Amino acid sequence: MTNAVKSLVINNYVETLLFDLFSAMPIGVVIYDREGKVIFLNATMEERWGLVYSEVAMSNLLDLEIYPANADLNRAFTEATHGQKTLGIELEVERHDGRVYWINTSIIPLQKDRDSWYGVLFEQDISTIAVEKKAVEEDLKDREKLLIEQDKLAAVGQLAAGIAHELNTPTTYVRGNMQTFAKYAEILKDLTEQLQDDNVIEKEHILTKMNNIIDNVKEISNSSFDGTSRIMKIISSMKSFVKTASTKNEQVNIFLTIQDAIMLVYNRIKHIGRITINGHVFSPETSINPEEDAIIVKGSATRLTQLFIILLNNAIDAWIENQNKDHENINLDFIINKKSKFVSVGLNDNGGGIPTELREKIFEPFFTTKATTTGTGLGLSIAKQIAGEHGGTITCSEIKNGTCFMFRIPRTV
Amino acid sequence: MKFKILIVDDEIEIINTLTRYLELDEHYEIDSVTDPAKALEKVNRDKVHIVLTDIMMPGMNGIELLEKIRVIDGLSQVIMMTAFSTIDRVVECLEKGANDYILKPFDDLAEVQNIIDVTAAKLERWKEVLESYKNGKE
Repeated sequence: MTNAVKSLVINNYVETLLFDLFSAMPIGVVIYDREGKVIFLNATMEERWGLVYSEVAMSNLLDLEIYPANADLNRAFTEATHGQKTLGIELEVERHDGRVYWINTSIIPLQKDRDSWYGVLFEQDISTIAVEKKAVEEDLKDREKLLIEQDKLAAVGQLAAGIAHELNTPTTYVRGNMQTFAKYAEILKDLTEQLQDDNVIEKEHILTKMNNIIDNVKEISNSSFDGTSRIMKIISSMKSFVKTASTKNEQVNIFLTIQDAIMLVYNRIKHIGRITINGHVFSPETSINPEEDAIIVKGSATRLTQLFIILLNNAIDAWIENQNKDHENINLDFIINKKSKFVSVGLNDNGGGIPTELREKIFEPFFTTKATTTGTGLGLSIAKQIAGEHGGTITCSEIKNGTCFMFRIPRTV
Repeated sequence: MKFKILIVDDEIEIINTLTRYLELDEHYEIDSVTDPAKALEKVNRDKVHIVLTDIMMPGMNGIELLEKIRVIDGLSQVIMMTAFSTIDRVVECLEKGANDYILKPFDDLAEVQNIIDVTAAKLERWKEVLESYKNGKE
């Protein structure tokens, strides 16, 4: 047998082999020419597409409109065909008769010689795999949600002692003021009786005492009012935090969520330093006017409060672990910026900084540099999740003697 | 005898509440500071009979203040004010020379007054002994 004959025999053998292979494959196979006309269609594809090869031979693949609703697939085919590129795509498709399923499609242009080429399209039905994958993804999302809720409950537990202490202070002086009121009432009654005595000598002295008491009454009244306002603020912050995060579609004032978060961790910081918001020192007695300073984003107030609590606790823990020799007070500064399309909230601390090699790792679940008794390692990973839920990001960078955690979230207004 | 009472607390409203109530008693002259360091200056400079101090304060806490007061004046009466969550620190204070403690929130200011009255009465009793000791030395 000459080489030419041998070559012909082998070519025929290979062509037959390939033909048999493609015909028998459980994956759909279409072979088309350089103009996109169907040259070959295997049985699997005939069945999937509801066609018979003899009826569509030499028809343009795009003209068959197998998936008329899936413009992406048609575009991918055109791109692969004209651009001579191999493409792989996984998507949910709707057949011309309404049947919906998932496919994994590979479009492979092959050049036979300089002037002619053809393409092979493989299509695998992955509906079962896709359904299972979706179920796993949803299960993962449910677990993530559960993890976020568990972290929130753990935070409530950890914050409870500090919150109780914060409630203690205004309760102490409001209660004390009420007792002083009672004593003043007795004294005023006594002084009034003295004044009614015609023989009283020190009338001026008595009147001075009464006026002093009346002035004090006004002060006590204001002080008690402020004290109950402080109690109400703490309770409001707690309520806002512990309610179930039902929807992520509220209009949320970022300033208020930051204030709520600070209120809840305030007891941890008030004796060791201070917190500022855009340069203003935070105090439980004063609050930012929400109308003047409102920066509205779309999301969940509860979740965002949780995110800020995580960042605050993280910064406080870092400062405690890294207290420098000079016993510098802790300084936490919130810098809030309104840009055209997003809001950025930076939290600067003086906790000693995070080594460069750890700045990505700290957002990983269960990664912690704290002693095992205090850190679960979930805080920042949950913060990152919450940021992602809101279409935002959270990053960290080095600043002098500390770290800046930057949270960015798209604006709505 | 008029007793000088110094109230030390970083919360001004707590100071105001105690001051308004206690100053109704003519036996007491009330002074106050929110900064423990200033409290120490006053104890050093003036004759302070009773110091009523919070424990949790920024900078110097109440226990550190107590220790420093004890160095300056062994007889000055120091009463610690504490929330229940820091009750274990009260034991530490008593071991370091605190004379008494008061729990916050104050259940009844009359009880606070009572503790101060008892302390003042104790000082009144000591005064006689101390004066006769001083006179004997001279």
